[in-house]
Amino acid sequence: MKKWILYLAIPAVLTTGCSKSFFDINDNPNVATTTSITPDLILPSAMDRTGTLFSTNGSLATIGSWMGYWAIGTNYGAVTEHRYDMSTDFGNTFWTSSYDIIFDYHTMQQKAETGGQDFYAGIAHIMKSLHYQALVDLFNNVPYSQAMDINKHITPGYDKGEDVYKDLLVQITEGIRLIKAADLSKNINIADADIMFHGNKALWAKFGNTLKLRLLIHMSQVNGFNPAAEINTINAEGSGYLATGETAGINPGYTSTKPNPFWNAYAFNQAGNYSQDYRRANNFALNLMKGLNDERYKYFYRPVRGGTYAGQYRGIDYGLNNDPAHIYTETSLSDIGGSPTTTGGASGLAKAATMDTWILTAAESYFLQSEAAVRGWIAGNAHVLYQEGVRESYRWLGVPNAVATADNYLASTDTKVAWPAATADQIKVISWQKYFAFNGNNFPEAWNDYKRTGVVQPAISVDAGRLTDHVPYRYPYPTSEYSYNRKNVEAQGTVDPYTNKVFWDL
Amino acid sequence: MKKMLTAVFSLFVLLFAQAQQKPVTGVVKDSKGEPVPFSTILETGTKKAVQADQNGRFSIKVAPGASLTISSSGYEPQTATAADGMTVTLTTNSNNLNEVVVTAFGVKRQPKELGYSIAKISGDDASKAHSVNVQNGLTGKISGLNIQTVNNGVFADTRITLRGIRSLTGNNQPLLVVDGAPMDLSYINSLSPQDIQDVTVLKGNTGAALYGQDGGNGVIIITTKTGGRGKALVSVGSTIQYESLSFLPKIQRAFGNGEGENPDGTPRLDVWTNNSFGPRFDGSEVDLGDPLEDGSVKRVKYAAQKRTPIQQFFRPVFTLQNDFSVSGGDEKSRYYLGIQNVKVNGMIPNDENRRTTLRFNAGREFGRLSTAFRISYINENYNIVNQGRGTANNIYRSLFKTAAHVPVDQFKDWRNDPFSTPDGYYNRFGYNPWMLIDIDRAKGRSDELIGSLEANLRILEGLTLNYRVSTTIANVTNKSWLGAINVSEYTTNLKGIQSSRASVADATDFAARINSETFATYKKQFNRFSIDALVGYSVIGRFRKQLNASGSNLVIPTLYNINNRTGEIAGSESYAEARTAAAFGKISFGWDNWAFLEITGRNEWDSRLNINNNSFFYPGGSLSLLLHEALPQIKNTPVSYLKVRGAWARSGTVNLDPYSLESTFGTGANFPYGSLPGYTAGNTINNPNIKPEFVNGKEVGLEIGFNNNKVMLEATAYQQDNTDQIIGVQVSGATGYSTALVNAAAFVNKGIELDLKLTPLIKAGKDFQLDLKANYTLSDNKVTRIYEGLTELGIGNNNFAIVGLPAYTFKLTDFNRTPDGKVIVDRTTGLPSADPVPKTYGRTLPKHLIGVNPTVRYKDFSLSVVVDYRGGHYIYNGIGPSLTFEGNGAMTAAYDRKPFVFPNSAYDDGTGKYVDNHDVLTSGGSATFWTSAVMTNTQSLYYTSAASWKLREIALTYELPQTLLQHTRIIKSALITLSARNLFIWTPASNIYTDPEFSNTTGNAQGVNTTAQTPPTRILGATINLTF
Repeated sequence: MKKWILYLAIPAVLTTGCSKSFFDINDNPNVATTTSITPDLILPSAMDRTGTLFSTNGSLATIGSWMGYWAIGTNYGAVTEHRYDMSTDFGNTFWTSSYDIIFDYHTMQQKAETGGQDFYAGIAHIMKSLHYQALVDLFNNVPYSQAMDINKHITPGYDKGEDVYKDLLVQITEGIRLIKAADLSKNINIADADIMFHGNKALWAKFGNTLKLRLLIHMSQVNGFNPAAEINTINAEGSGYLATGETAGINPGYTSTKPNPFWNAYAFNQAGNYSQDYRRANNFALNLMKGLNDERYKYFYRPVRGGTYAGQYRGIDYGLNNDPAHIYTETSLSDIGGSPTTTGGASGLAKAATMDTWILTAAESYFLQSEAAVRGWIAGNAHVLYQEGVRESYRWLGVPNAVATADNYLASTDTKVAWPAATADQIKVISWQKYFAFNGNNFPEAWNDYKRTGVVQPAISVDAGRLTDHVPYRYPYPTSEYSYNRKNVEAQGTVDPYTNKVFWDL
Repeated sequence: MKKMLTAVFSLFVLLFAQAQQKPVTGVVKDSKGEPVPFSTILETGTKKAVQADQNGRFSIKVAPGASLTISSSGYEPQTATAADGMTVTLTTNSNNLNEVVVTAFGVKRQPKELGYSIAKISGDDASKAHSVNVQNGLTGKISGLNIQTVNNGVFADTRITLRGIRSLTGNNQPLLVVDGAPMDLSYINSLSPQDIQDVTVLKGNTGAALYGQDGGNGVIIITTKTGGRGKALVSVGSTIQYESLSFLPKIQRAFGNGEGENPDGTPRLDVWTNNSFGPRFDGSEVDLGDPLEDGSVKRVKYAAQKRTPIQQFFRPVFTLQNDFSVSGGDEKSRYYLGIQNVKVNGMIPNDENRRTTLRFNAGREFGRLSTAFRISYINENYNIVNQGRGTANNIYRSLFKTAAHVPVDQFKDWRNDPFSTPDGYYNRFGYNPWMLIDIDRAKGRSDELIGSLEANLRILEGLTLNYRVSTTIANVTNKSWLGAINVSEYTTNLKGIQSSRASVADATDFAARINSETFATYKKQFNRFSIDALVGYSVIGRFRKQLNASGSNLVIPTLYNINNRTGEIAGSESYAEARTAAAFGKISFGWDNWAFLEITGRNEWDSRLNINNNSFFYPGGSLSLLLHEALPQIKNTPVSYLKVRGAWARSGTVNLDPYSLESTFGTGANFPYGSLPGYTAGNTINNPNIKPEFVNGKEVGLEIGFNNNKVMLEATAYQQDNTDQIIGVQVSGATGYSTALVNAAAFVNKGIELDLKLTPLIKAGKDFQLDLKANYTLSDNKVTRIYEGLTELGIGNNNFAIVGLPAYTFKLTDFNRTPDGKVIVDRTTGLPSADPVPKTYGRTLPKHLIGVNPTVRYKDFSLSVVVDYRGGHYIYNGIGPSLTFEGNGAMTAAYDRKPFVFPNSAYDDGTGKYVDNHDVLTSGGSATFWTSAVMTNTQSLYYTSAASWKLREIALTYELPQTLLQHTRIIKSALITLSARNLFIWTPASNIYTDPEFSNTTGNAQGVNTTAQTPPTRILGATINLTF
């Protein structure tokens, strides 16, 4: 009898006597939590996500097609994109991914600040600025000062694009300062976790300065804009800008089974098959380059794989829908350029599964400097910087005898290539060469130049159902904002992507 | 001293009196030898009465030879002479209205005492049509209970709810209790219907308050069989069921394959496509598919075949059930052994599932101690095609994609026949379905154990101490694979189809639950006053571990093992553990057999909550008044029974997974790269202060019987106020998150339940009786709050909770429309356009449920029919857009594939004024028009009423007459049953798609079907049961 009572009493002991420890089983055994995470664990993934977003985002690929680089090669029915149709979900993934990635950097920054890891904190300042720059360029006013603070702002208010830009310059300066002052021994694993510059402080400073120059050049048309103070800060810092061979690219250690995202999306998938992609050469850019004897078209595009046109570089007019006279597959049109085999090569946009994902190219750095020099913002020979930009583009693509081939091309007398005397024309030719250099690798900046200088006017879609006769100027706000942050997004007014422009686009 | 003497004297007097009135003990049984609990034993002509215990045993002090009247609700009263060790056998009266029911914690009560709604159905009634799973046999038979079969195939998943929903995003399915052991509802699929004695349903939290958070959604209590006293009873049964297609979407049979148009806009024949936008069938001989590399090409007749591709592919199937049981016992022991084997074949060739259940129940009494032991082992082995691996290759969809002239039958031999191989198959955009069912498969087994041990100790008369420990253990292993697909370079270049290597994924899932309950019950009658109390505590531990591993690029194409791969293994592990403990109590008072008051309370501790605030309490109470007992004059009217009742209970539910308090970081895509780790912040901001959700349930009921209870009507109205709903509020991405976990939303859930029983409706002599049972349920709810600044919450599948509307309400995309609802078309192209903002449509959960259940008995034949209706809700037919895009949907041929005036349309005449469109034709009427985004993405086009009447169940049973069986000497009874399930369905004409019960989930977001399912079927069966 006594024994029985003892048995029955066991649960009672559990519920009362040691209740605290009995219920203390709720620590997550499956994944890392806010308590256990450290900055060096966040940085590699955050950077990898940054690279993937800029090199493979779908709505950016659409912008690339509108800008005359790519076209759609399917023989399905009508393609929405051909109509410049920007429904409110057009920019959803770009918006969501950007803020999601910013949050990773933000969390890393908070962790780094509490741990005194200035290098990580500095990287967060700069990389967040890169993302916010892209958001402003696409959406103009965006949540900034109230973003990343859900406990205070579950519906974050929007900041004006120009205010965000102003603060980004401050943030980059602070980022460079933190990095340069960082004690490397405190910043555990920085050489491995920093998959862009592996803890090289000077390269981070150059990257920050080049990013600043991009922001300043974007604002070049803004009334009364004066970059002098910021240029002074850059000069005082003293590291300069990204130079030959210093293209900022990230690489966590891509392999054939964990390939570079651009390679995976546009060349070959993990199984070694051609990627199921329908982007092909657009006649606009292809024909222009062919006309200028610009060898690079052979690296931006791939020869037709088989069939009647095997080996040729063939494009298509943008906007053709379901025309029975054409077969739009890769057996009659040129694919995105790069190595023709899965093992990879040394040239083209998609060189190999193991190649870096580009973030900011040295070619762009030279073109930015050239324009800044033309505008008299910085010292330096604008023409030489321009030539370096073209040469760097050839080098970066892996064109054989890159400098000689580039110089041969630069000798052209065509107004899209030859360096003119008038400053206004110099800015035009820089725009053209940026356009050619950015093929497949920098659609946002090609689009930004279209908005800012209007020099390159890509061929308009031949789809009769097109909603406009020019490339749109901005992204509409995403549907998610209208659902979950309605008051704040509606305060930005009705957005018409065909007429509304971002603040620096005048 | 004087006091002491008085005491001693008193004792003597007492002993003398005891000697005069000897205690007489006995037991009350029914005609089958089963004990009848709680019958009243009254010394005839006196007021001296006792109540028998749960096991029918009683002890009464009366003079020897006294006359006793033994009565129990549901039985004819009987008079017997008192004799120690007596056995009284009661016979049931025709209306077993007051049969004893099992309430929370296995406590047997008489329904008249209960202040809340409870329903009971016998195992025989539930398995009349021999459905494979218990729940299918309950459909339409109980008010408030909604059982929805959401798919077909070898698993035929069901969603079960009682009284609608109580949680916007959490679990709404009731708790399952088998022989007192609480377990996850999914175990209902693991029970053999043949093992079931009866099923009791506690419809709301009011009746299930003692079960705490698990019982908030109501409880389904299943009691399995135990042996009767006497000789062993052996029973064998065998059922065969034939299943065939019953409801197919309406398709066009006039146009063959094509996906484009000629320059003049007429349909073009594209022999290699899977879309049916080709020219009209003309009976000529045409190519099917591209030429093969050797130049040969398949030729077919360009005409619709008699049997559609869907009919050619899906096979009618047979399901076999065999069962065996043996049971028996003596005065102190009882046992039951049941074995069942079920083999279900799928309509998709090669699909099958085999379930074997083994159950052993035993009990024995040792004086004051009675013990019981129950164990059941369930093994399932399945082998099915993978569904949903890329929408193009769902089996059902691949058949939607097959034009009416394509002889699917001829492509079976995909390994050898040159036109059936991946190289030769005519379709450029989808694989040969016959190949898919061979190489794209999932195979697995589950092993489950359900067990319980129980001991009841009678400490004093009326006071019993109970202890029960029970467990469920399940282990599931699954292997799924996709075989290698090899094509030539010719095929790759021509069709864009690439070769792919085989891949395999393995998963194991182990889950265990242990429940320990200790409680004391006390029952006592003090003249007119009775008391029934329970106090106890329980501990529940739950554990689950899942491990997944997959490998691709298998080296040996037919060896589906992750060791046989190149590259890394992809894998994941997940572990979850939660503990809850509870202390609870209940006290019921009865007065004069007509007033009953019950008060309950329960406090819970839950490990999933913040450890500093993990305790919550909730009370409840109910009242039952039997007016026909209280006011005897009622008996002079036709009213023979009149009960009013009411109940209120609050219950809390931690609708939360373990580890939901702290925000998490997941592994970044593709990470780790070698030795480089990478983590990314999760999208949900978890909340360390999250609290349980609360349900405040109220119900009132009226039960009225007429004409000696031959007509019984039970009516219940309930309301459940659900507050502090745990929701993941979607937030602006600019916060860094997409979802924030908060206690915020609230909604009110209410309804009416009516149960009418006419027993009998008609009776003619001994040979003929017609009974009728009918029930009606009104189930409605309204969302009252979501979150500050938010008025709606998406829960997936286009289901939304919107303030002021029922949960859930559809939000679907629609055309741009004029203010008066006409579709706006372009003035020149005649084409409609899509409104980017989704609109609010109707509810997704049924508002009205009706069940009608007539039974007829004529001599040895009995016929039982169940007809049920569900309506007031809507469905978005996810299979619709696919039918349109593929060009096989009837809608696409409604205008003869020619330009037409879009129905009910208007256009802007250029001045901003809309004029009705009578003459502007659509710019196209074939592929370009029908495959356009606006026709395939506009969800309102595929939105229909979900109302349906179903002839759910028919069972015709013939019991062989005893005169015939006597010759056999060994067969005690023999039954032959012919049955049918889901024989007919009647839906509104607008539903040309499928059974509206079908859904792509058993979760909360209902009303959306998909092509990853199989079409509905009707089932015909025959059963023979023999008892020895």
